Amino acid sequence: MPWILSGGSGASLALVMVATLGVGPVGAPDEVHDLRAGAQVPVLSTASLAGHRIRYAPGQAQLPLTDGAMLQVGSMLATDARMKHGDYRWNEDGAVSNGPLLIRIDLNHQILSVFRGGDEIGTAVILYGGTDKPTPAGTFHILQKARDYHSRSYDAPMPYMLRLTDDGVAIHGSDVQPGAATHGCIGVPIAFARRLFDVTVQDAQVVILPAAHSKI
Amino acid sequence: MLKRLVRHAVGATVPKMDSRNDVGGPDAATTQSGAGKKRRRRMLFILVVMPGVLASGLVLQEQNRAALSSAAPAAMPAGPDSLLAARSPGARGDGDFLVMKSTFAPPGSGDGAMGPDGQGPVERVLSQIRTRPGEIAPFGGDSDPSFVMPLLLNGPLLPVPASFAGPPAGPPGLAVPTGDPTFIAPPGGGGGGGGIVVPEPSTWFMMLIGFFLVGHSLRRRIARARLAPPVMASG
Repeated sequence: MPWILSGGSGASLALVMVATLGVGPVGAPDEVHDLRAGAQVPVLSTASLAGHRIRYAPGQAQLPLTDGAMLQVGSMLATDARMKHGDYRWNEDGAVSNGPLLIRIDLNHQILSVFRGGDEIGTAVILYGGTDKPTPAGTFHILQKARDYHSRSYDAPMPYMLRLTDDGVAIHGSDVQPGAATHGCIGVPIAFARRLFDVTVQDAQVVILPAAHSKI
Repeated sequence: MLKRLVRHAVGATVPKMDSRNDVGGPDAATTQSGAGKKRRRRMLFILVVMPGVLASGLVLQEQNRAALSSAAPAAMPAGPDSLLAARSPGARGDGDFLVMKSTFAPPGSGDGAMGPDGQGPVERVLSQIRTRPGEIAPFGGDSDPSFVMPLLLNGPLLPVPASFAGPPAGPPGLAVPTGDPTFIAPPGGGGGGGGIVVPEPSTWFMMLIGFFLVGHSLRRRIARARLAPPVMASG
């Protein structure tokens, strides 16, 4: 159809296509997996929504840790919708550039959150130990980092391993699928594991909160 | 063009020849045929409809942006706990799970971590070995490895039972996992022989759309040829 391409009609058509197809939901340049548009994020009245980060006034927001301790939260990542297995978020924009790193693993919610100086910089849905090999709860520290570790016990790869205990519990990259479990390790999506590996230092604190209705 | 030349020959005024606009001059009104009307309609369409579509696209875009940026404060203020609960896929259900590690410790190091009955991971897909007609069922499951041997080692093929004449209708014609020595030779000597291939619905639709497009363009070409008969090239 030559007429549709002639002269001004062609330019108009191009503009139409750009206008209707081009711009989706406005997003910050963070690494996002399966971002869905349309869901509303509840906002605390004294918090501010800046891009994809919800900032709280100092001392106003806390998250429980183990042994009764509380984490003072400066900001959280605003996920647009419920996350699924395999989803993760990583956004360091707006977070403090240096500060104590804390990895908070909530087995009940199946969510891992990475905080730097009280600002959340990453979150992911995790896999954890099954009923026969449960993941221990408590406070741990990163004992060892290995980019390409291979489990001798289970003859399986453990990319971006962050060792937590001497008996083999670690955070590592995994194929995170619903209905799956590990032998006690914390499995996170491999791309997220790479990010976490790069920012984690030895002796960083890791807190694992137990699943509330655990059978053991 | 030919009409213009003829009119000139009989003494009418020669209209101004413009390469971009080949109708013009005092006789423009009389020389404007359906081609000119068609061009006017086309320009009208471009000038009216396209901006309308553009405007509606921009309006939609604005609505989209407005819907995203307006965050109505919830009735209950949401702190980090609520955010975590909102983003969480929920608590994991109880029960047995497919453990992600692909291989397991050798038997003897057994610590009961191999699944509910210690047998290893449970296959969730391809629970039945499926073969196409004409293929030999692969090893595995309850197939007897020895059933393949007669095919490989014996020279002439074994006699075919009378009831199995012709192409296999449904189930694969060869898989005899019970080790029955009287099995059937694969027709055509390979996979894919004798099977009926049905196109996907999307393939059907694509074919229909293609036919419609071809017919439409043919019709347009005929219509255009009828309206504007071929003219001689101008000097």
